[in-house]
Amino acid sequence: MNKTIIFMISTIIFLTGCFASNSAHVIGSNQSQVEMRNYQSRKFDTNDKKLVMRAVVSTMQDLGFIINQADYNIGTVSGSSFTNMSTLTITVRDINSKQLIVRAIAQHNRNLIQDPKAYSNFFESLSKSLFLEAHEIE
Amino acid sequence: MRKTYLFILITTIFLNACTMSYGNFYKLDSQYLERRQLETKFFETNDELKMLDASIQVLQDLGYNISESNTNLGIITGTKDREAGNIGQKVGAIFGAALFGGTPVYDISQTIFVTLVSSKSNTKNGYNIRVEFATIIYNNVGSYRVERRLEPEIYKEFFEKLSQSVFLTANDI
Repeated sequence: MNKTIIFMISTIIFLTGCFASNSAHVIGSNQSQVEMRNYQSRKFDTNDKKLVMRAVVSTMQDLGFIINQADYNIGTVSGSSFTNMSTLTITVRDINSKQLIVRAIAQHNRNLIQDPKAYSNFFESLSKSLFLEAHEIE
Repeated sequence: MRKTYLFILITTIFLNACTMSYGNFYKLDSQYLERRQLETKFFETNDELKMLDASIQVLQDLGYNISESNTNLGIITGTKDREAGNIGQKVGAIFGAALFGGTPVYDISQTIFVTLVSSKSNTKNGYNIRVEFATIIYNNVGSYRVERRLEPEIYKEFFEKLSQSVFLTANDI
């Protein structure tokens, strides 16, 4: 009997650990802004925003995304993946006359993806595409 | 003892639900260059805007609603809603359910998505047009599945129609 009660309490604790209250999600983040920006962003040594944004679109197409929205002036591209059902929003902004910062935010199953590996995979794919843009394969 | 095992099992399931691994997300697979080639066609033109204009016309020919366009990035996206499944699938599902029990499940509708992107060729004098199609297919029991459309004949037919559209648009038709 005791064991059953302990089991039920443990399950409830795990369940509440998984699901935060509704209002908590409006701001909801358990990582620091610096930590998140760190793994979600990469610097590129170019000031060619158009080249980088076009490479972002091309990479997203390579990864099976359909583009939902794109705005060159503000530097955003967002899309939905038809391979893993995630959504991705990319921002591209220049920080000086020689460098750009690309930042990715990914969601999957109503959760923010907080695994740095997913982001480093994306940037690795983007780097390949930037190389391909410069040395086009046809 | 059995309860302890059960507890560990359930705890593991919940922990897994909380901490799903995304380590394989956004990695390029081995076929991406092949797909890129299938989805891309070169057009000999210096005018990207005219190319995008002809592309929008062909998407309209195919019944797509344009949902986003950005000429700076050469992007056009569109969607259309259509019926899904066919009589054979429906009859099969109904017979299957009658024989083996359960509810017959068959497709009823689909939303088709298209993304078209133009980019200046680095090796030739002209533009590459890359297009990709994907669908969300809904069934009669309220669930859905997503599918990338990878059939080569779809892309071949699309580019034939686009070539035709380039000609028609250039002649103000």
